[in-house]
Amino acid sequence: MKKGGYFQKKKLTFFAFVLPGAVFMAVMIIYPIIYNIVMSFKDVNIMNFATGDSKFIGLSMYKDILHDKVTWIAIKNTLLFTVWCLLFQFPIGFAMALFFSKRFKLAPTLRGINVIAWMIPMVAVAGVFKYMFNSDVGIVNRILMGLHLISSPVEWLAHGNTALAAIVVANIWKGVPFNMILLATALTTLPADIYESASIDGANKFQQFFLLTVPLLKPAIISVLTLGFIYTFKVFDLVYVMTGGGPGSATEMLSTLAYRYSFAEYNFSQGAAIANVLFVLLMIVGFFYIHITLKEDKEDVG
Amino acid sequence: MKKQVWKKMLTTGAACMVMTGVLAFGAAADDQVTIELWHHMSPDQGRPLIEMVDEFMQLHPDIKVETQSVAFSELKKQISIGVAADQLPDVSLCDTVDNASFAAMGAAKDITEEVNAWGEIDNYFDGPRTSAIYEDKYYGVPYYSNCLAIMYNKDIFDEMGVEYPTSEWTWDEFKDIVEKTTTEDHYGLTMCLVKSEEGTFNEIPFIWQSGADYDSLDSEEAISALNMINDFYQNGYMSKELVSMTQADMCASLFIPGKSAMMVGGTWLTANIRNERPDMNYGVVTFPNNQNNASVIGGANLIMLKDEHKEASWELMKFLSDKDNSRKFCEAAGNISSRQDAVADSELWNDDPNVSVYLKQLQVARARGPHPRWPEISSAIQFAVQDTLSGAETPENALKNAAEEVAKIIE
Repeated sequence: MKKGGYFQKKKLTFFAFVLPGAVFMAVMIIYPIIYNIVMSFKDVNIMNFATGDSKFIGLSMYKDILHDKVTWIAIKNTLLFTVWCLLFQFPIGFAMALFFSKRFKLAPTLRGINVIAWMIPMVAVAGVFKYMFNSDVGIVNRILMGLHLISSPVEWLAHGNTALAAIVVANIWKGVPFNMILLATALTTLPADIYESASIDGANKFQQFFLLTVPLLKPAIISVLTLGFIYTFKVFDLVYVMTGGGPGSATEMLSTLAYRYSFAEYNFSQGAAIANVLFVLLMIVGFFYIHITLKEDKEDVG
Repeated sequence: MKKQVWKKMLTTGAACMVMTGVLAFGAAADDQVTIELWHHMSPDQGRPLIEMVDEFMQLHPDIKVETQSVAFSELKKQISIGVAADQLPDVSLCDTVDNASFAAMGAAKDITEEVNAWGEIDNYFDGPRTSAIYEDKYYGVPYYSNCLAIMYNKDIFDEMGVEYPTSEWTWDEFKDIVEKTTTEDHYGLTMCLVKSEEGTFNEIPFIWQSGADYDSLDSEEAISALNMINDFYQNGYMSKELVSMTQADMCASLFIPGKSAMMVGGTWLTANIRNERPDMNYGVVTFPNNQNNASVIGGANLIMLKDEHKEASWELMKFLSDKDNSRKFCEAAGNISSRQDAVADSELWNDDPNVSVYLKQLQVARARGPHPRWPEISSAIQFAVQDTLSGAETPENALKNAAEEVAKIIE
């Protein structure tokens, strides 16, 4: 009896702690997701948006978008963008994390200054890079021409491939500090004594890095890569400001496409369906991440 | 069902918040009505509006107007979200071309009765007036109008020894001058090619001049228009940056600093030039002629989005649309009044050598659509242009794709 009361009380406390988070999740995250999924199975467009008498059309919106060339262009662009960004962001961030974990005088200060890039709002970054890549007055062309790497100005944002490259560069600049700070934090948790014994055993710096640092950092590396993938994959403001998805659909991402369908063309269901494609792709990445971390935990216990 | 429950909960929540607000502010005059007005104007254009709203509040102490500025590109989004969340302002300005969309969406209210009782609508120009009509009913009142014409930098023309264009000029002469006035230091032409309604706004006059329209985009005529724009672009007579520049951007960074001999420019840009470089030596000429002599109408309409304070809202709309007020606002903001009688009274529009050209151009300016699904049609045009300019498609293919898209939309 007494014990039951204790449990009862404990349960209540448990719920009291969980409740605010659960309510927040339900209202701010789960409700919009469900609303979006329901909307993608209906035909909500400009004509029936306010009246609410849209037809249920099952999967035909998905059929439509999967037959649309633009959807595949957006998926391809989003993947290309993400892969290119991570390929540069991660190694550069890692190298900087290693560099700034050395104990020299200004290391903490410089590391702090580098994080500023990560704190600047994306829209501001996009505006600045758009100006830097301007073919008439941008500094990028000035520098490249000064170094005689190009003979005439490159119209970065006017051609598909160069526009994508310009966006990738802007995003790398912003993403590096994020990679650096997470990896630098993880580096500080590594015990110093194993490096000592390793060097006594005659391991050189490369061996120490690949056989000690990388395996020990594995959980952190996986988190950084997964989070980086998710952040990069759902890019919106950068592309919206720098190119608006153009020229044509050369830099159209899933996010900008969903935005255009919903808020420029008022095909709300089409926009919802694209947003759900984005959602599903990221869910897969998320599950993959959880799977790996759980496995890691088990291995640790084992 | 579910949606209704949510709506109820949201409304109750909102009501609670409003009540707390009322309690907190104590006895703010019981019978005072507060209405909200959204507009999408930049500071240059917004200031005269706000002054006029203040004047309205002095005349009507029982009505309080809260103005809120929303970015032009955001306004459509905010209003459609407002429909879903039941959080619309009482009155808003909207791009003339979106009036039909908002009517179809059920956001803009039918104000035919009020408009008829008011009895002033016959004083309006036909183009703007029809933009407020959807299925034979009025869903708005035109507030101001503008149109595009060609602005040219007289200094550059003098320096190059090229004669100023006249209203009689043809496409061939136009092409010739664009090529001639391009040098190392400046482009021949600047026009907005961005992937938004602003792009369509700048591109469609050429399509109309060629003799085509949005429902004949795959015709020879439309192809000739796109070919002309594409040639200018590929030959370097226009800046490659124009695919991502708004009209205000291109005016500020290309035309005003003298980096472009000509610009496809709207009425309101005369106000921007006046503020940025008052001594600029420029002229305005009507578009070159081809099959047709055509320009495009822009501007904004006042729409009512809520029934709740219908009388107060209509009172505000009437005040802003008053003949003298319309003239005062439009003169200050660099627009042309949508009212013929207000224009007739104005010295600026009739006598100013530049502004009066716009008035002349307005006579042959057409409204886009009006079609409730115009945003999609417009999107098809933007893609045709951008795909051509970036080299992804030939003009013929790009326009064929666009024509197919449009056919699906208007069927």
